Amino acid sequence: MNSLMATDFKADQLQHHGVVKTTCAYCGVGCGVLAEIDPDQTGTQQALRIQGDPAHPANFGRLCVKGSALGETVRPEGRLLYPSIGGVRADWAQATAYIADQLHTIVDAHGAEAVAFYVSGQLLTEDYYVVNKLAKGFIGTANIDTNSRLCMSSAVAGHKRAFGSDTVPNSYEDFEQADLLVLVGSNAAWCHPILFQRIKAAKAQNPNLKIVNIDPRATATNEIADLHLPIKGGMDVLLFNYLLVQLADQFALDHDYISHYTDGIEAALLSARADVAVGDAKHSVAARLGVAAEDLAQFCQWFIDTPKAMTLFSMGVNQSGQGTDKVNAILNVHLATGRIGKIGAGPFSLTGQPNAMGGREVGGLSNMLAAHMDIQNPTHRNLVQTFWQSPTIVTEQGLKAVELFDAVASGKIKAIWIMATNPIVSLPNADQVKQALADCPLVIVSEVMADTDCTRVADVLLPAMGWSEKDGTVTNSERLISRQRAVLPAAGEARPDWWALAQVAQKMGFAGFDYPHPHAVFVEHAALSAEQNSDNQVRRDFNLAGLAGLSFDEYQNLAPVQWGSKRFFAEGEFFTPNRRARIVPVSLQSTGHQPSNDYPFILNTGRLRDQWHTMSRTGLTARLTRHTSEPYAELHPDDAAQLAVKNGDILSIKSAWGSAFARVLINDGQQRGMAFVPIHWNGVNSANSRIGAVVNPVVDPFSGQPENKFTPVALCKAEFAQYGFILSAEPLSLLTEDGYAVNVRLGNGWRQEFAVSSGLDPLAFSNIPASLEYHDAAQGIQRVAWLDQNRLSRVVMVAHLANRLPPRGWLDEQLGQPIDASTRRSLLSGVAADPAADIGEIICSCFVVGKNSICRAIQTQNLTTVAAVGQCLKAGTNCGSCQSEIAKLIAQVTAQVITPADPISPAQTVLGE
Amino acid sequence: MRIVVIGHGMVGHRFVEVLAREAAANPDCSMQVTVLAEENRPAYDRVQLSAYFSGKTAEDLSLVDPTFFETSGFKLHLGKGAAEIDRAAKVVTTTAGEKIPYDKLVLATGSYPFVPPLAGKDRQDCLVYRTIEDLELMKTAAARGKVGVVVGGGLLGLEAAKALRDLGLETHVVEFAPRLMAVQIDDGAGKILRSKIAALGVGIHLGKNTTEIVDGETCRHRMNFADGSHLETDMILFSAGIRPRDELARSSGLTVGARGGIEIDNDCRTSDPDIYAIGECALWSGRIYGLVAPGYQMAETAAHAIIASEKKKPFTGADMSTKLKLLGVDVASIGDAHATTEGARSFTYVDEPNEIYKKLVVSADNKKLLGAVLIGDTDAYGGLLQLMLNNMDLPDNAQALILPSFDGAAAPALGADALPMSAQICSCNNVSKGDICSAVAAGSLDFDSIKNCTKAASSCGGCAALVKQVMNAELEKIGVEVKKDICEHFAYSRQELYHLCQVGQIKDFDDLLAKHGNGQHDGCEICKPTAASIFASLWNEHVLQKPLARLQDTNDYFMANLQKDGTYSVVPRMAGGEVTPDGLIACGMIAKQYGLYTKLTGGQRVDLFGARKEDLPAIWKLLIDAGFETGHAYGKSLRTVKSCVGSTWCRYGMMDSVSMAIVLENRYKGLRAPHKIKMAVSGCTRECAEAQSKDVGVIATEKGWNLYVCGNGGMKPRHAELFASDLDDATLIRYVDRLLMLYVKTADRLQRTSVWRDNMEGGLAYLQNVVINDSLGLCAEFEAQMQYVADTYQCEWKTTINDPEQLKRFKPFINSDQADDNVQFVEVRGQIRPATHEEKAGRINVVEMA
Repeated sequence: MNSLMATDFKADQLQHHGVVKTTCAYCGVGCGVLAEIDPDQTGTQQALRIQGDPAHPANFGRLCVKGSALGETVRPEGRLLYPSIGGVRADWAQATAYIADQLHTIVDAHGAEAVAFYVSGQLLTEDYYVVNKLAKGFIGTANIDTNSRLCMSSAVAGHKRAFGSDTVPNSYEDFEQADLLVLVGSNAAWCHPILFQRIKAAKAQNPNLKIVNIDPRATATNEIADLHLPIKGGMDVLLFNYLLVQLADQFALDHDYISHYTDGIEAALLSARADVAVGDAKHSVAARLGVAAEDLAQFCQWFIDTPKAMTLFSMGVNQSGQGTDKVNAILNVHLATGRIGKIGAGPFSLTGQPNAMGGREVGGLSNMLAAHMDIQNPTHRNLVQTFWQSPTIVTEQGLKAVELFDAVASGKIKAIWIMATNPIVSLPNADQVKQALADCPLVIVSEVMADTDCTRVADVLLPAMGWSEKDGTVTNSERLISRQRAVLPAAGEARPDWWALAQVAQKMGFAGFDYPHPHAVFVEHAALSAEQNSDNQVRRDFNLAGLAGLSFDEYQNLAPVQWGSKRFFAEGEFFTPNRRARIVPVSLQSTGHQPSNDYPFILNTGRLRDQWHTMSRTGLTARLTRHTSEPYAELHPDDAAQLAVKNGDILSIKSAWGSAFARVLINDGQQRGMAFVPIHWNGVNSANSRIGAVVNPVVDPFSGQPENKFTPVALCKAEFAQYGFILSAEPLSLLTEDGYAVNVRLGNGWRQEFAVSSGLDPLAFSNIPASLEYHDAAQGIQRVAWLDQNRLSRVVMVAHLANRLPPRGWLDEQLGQPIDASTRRSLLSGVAADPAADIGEIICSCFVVGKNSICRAIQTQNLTTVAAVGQCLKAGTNCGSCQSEIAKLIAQVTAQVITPADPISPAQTVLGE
Repeated sequence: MRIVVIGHGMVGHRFVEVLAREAAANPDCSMQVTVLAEENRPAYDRVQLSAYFSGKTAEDLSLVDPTFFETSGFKLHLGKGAAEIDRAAKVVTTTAGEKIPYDKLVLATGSYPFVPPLAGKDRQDCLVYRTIEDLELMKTAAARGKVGVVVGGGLLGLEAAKALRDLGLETHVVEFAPRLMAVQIDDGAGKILRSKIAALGVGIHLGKNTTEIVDGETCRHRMNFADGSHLETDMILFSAGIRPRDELARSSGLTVGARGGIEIDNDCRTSDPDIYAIGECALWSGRIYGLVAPGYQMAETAAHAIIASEKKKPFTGADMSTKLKLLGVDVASIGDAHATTEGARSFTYVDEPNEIYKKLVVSADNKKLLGAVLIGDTDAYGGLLQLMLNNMDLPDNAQALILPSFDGAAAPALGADALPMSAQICSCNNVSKGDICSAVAAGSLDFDSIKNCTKAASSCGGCAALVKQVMNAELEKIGVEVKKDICEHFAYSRQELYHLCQVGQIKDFDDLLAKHGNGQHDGCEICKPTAASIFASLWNEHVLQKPLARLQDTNDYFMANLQKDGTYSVVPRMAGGEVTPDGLIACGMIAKQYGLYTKLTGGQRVDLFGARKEDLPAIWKLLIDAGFETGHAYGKSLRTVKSCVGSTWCRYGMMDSVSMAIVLENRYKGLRAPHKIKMAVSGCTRECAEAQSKDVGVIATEKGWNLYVCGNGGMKPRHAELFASDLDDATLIRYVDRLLMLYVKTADRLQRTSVWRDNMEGGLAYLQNVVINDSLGLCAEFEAQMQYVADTYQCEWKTTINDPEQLKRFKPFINSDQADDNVQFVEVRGQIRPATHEEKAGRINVVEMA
């Protein structure tokens, strides 16, 4: 297989003509996508035409804005094109031989545990399978973890504690059958937009469907909520323990189910009652949770009264120092009411990544073995080793992500291979991660993009195929396996990750890695899941027996298929030794760090509607940067007043671990004392807005999942001598290391926002004479524009105060465009002479409809509903994830809180006053 | 009362005008007024002196109504100055020895040009620029020289430079200071002004201290500068400032300032209570005002102080703000242009490629406008001046005054409404907003009558725009519809101007400007081409015939289309797209000979690109010899009539579309219109000629021609509308005649038929009613006019190549026959295209200087 050359891959890809069925690269919903090479866009403009796949059971043809923009993220710009060793270009044979040799040396000198892998939910199942096989069965290290650790490892641990297996008991269609949906720690409107739309549609169909949103913040998801419980951060266990007690006290437990299929109800209830009993009349449970007593009562009553109840939980539950307990608190109420694995009833983990579930299936985490088997279980170990015919098999759990990088930092780990993830951005205490990797003797990075935080510290770089090039399978949150297929030829010398791993494995002298095609990997994986998998053998939930015999063609043409049955556990049949579920006693713990005088605020982190993870892909298209182009910190108005900050000010966020800057965004949906900051900005597109550097390295004791939602921080306004921005047709390097700087991709170039402590001379940004200049020395205002062949090629604007800069939206659009006389006149004012030409910040990214346009339409045509706005402007009619924002605008315009001339929005953080 | 006025310049005459007005208003007032004029002609407009070289005569410049002295009974002595004043006896002795007694004496002796005391300053053709006599001397000098230098880069110096340029001299300006107009504008503005003026071919030499003038080698003189450099010239014009004519005052013992000037008080009275001094000879509060507006104010003050003290308005200084066009460049300076006020802050806006510079100077608290400098775009002048003069509070975002809609706020209102009633709108004639409002209230409802009634905008004309704004605001208040004026020079729409020209038989621009224009400015790039188009439509005279030629824009001026690299394209007419093989061969031969890029146009003809200006006549000579005519591709006129091949060849053709296209094209070629016109004729409804995207589209049917009108491709496509069906040839042409004439008469400038139609009240039905049913009774006239245009058609190029005088303009440089080597080509697909900027950078010949 060493002879597998670039041409082989290309031939493989080019067999596809016309529309290719594939699966979205983003969240765990796993939407089907129809992709086709866009014949109108070639060269650097290469793009795909993207549509939802109407036949795909996850989305039935719908796509969210991120998915819709996939076609614009596949351009050659910025791709890593060839392998390199120590910064010197190498060919694949050299690079893989070098890695094999180095790994051997390190294993010989320091033992297998000195070698680590840190992989990703972005990998395909086939990649994931091969890396686990190599690490756990051949090199013999369990130090392989994945960024799924940051995503749903608490759900895995909770599931395993309760069910004896990591099984999601229900399917998406149950959302549409339920009468009560409880969303916990999930901003589904932004993070799982297509499921959110399905729920919304279900609510429209079923007037009895009640939706409860449990979230410290009032997010876009509140749009469909009948009840919002803004509990304080970290209090979920108390809430669900209280619910369990209420169920018991109001005789709503399903004693039949409990007695037949579960263990531990007594202890769990005891523990719950103890939790609830803490405090006195002044400190009622509602007061401790921070919610109104009647709202709490309402929630409990609805849950008690509604047999078809589902609890959908996500990062707000999982990313916690007590994440596993939170999961079990949720599972407990479902087990105790027998509402599990039934039509419209059950707990459901909404996963973050496209293949988080696939990673779980292959045992991607350091505490798992392949095919839902356990490292600690000798029978499982033996089964796997035999199947693999491997020289070894790990016997102990490896290090989980945070510990793993601690071990890199301490020097215990000497070599780490990072694939498809960016831990310098996403892990807590990220500055330490950065330092650790810089110091690590061997860092191998498999990447799609040439310049990321990790490629900057890599010793060996391997170009990986990206979405639209690679070929394999992913599994979504409801256990549905779908094919990702190649549409475009590989960029440069990019290769599949499984292939790179197999090359190294073979060069290390290991047998069993001569896969000719991902098909071969998949059928081996499927065969392992089926191996001895029956009642009288080694029974597991995960069994792909039906797929183990797939022919090459069948694999190529595989339609989406759900493993297991639609539902598990309605009749027990758990995967614990006694086949009974465990109702796990949990109690509210004060984990991690608490606010103090030095760090009085709580930092909460999360995702934005239009961005994905560390932006290496979604940051490439202006369509997705136009909703929110800069990092922000949401503050309650009272906190903002106390801190004396205004919208658009730059906020300094400091914890005991690190610091970051973000723009202030005042939002009364935010809790007092808490600041919410999105996770996306990295060290390549921002100077100091990597929020991971601030997050505390607290982890859940069972899952090892980090606490990303609760870090004590100090906040203050960051003052700079000069504020400004540059628009440029050419890429821009960051202007400052210690100030504020963020690069934003625009349709025709880039914008860099910056704030620096000593002034820059805008005229120095180009060595050709400026075309237009405006100077106001007293306020330090300088605005300079350059035209090249009458096209706007560069703009620099600076001022002593941030609020003396003009808005950016209209200017952004002028970049690279021919400038007519009237545009030229208003260019330096930053505002279109014709107000209608300024559509404002993008609300609907799918159809690129701006806030100003929407407000104007609402006002001039007296639109009163989201549907009417959609009819008029198309806004909100594709993925629908902007519908709640449109609804808010309708309310604001109607109430004349805003006029089209002065819209306020999250995206307006950059505008200042 | 005996009043003697010494000096009959602009200010002296204004003084006697006020006296005459007062005398007329008050018959009881008895006055004997004697005016002594040193020059041999009555007062004339010195501000507009340079117009003398662009065709104005001394009579044109005269400020004195020929009947003025007769009517007023005042006495004017021409060619007689004052020699002596006997203050005790109150008698003035004239240079002729006459003794004229006075009760009140007014000194309006003006100033003389300052000539620096340098060796050689009195050599031949070293002149000043002050009087019409000076102009005559310049004319003589220019006739025997090629190069002229103006010493002094101030306002007057640049005016003088324009005069030299108009005289056809290679012109230079030598200035001691490091920038032009050092008094009025700052460095940044000076830089832009310099580059603009240099681009006009005027040599600018700043920071040059002339040490001597000696014999030249190539020219008559050589000016040696202190820095060792020198400049050769045949003629020198000193324009280095003025000095007050105060010698009479000195000799008669009046108090004069240490550095000259007759001291006056707020009533313009000198140290002798019976003697007044006004204008540039007067020194008020240590200042001499070298502008006409303050002189006029002094004239009013002195006149009222002498004869109508109840109307007396003390002179308390004057604003020196100016707005003018220097060598075609708009320049304005207001108040504290140099930001010398304590704590003053400034905002600057520079549009380098368009050579626009704007600076505002505001007070430290950002509340008041202190000054401004505007170059290239002076539209804001009137509003800014009012803000400063009336000490009005600035809007919060003062920046928006030069940066439109700064930070999203609407541009602050500088509208007439914001001004106080006392705001002085016309400073030449001291007309306030209140005066204009009263005039409107009293029934002056158009600009001309406001001008006549108040005199506003009748001198320098700089306030015309503001006067109109005030007037319009008042008119709107009283519910009168406000007209759409084409520009500040004409308070009329194009349609109105058209009628004025037609009714008044006006055939040249000066005539039009004199009869219906505002102020004494020269017109602009809006009204001049508009007038040219109207004249062409009406009288169909050759576009390059004087005085029409200077009205044309570049395309019409050279009768070719200017391309991006400065070369021109040439399009011979091929009516209906029909061309003989010989014709094609001729085009090909010519293109080959001159290395032209050849392309077929969308209008079915051959376009030849890359012709140098100097080759245009020769190329056209060949084309005309080959039987071609001009295609008018440069004109706002009929371009082409596109056609399909029609029934002669095509199996589907219903009628002979080619023949009809040729008939139409030959009938309407040469018709000048508000914008270009395109037509097409299709032989059947398959519409191969795309007639429905044309201004006039004709489609053949079984029963005749269908006429479509007012379509447009281009920037904003519009489908033509079916206007009439099943027409015979004669009716079709009749309708097109009428329609086009109506368009020519009523459309705004640069308005295509599509927009014209969209803006037409009553829409298509109205148009059909006028053209088909003759609802206005004008159709006979329309047809006659169109027939006149058709009958008087001449190929403009044919006329041009036979006129040596007109051929001169095609020389690349005024003084040289050398080709312009800035024109560079690159070969692509076997033909030339213009070199890009980068390509040129590597190619231009650089001559090393020893």
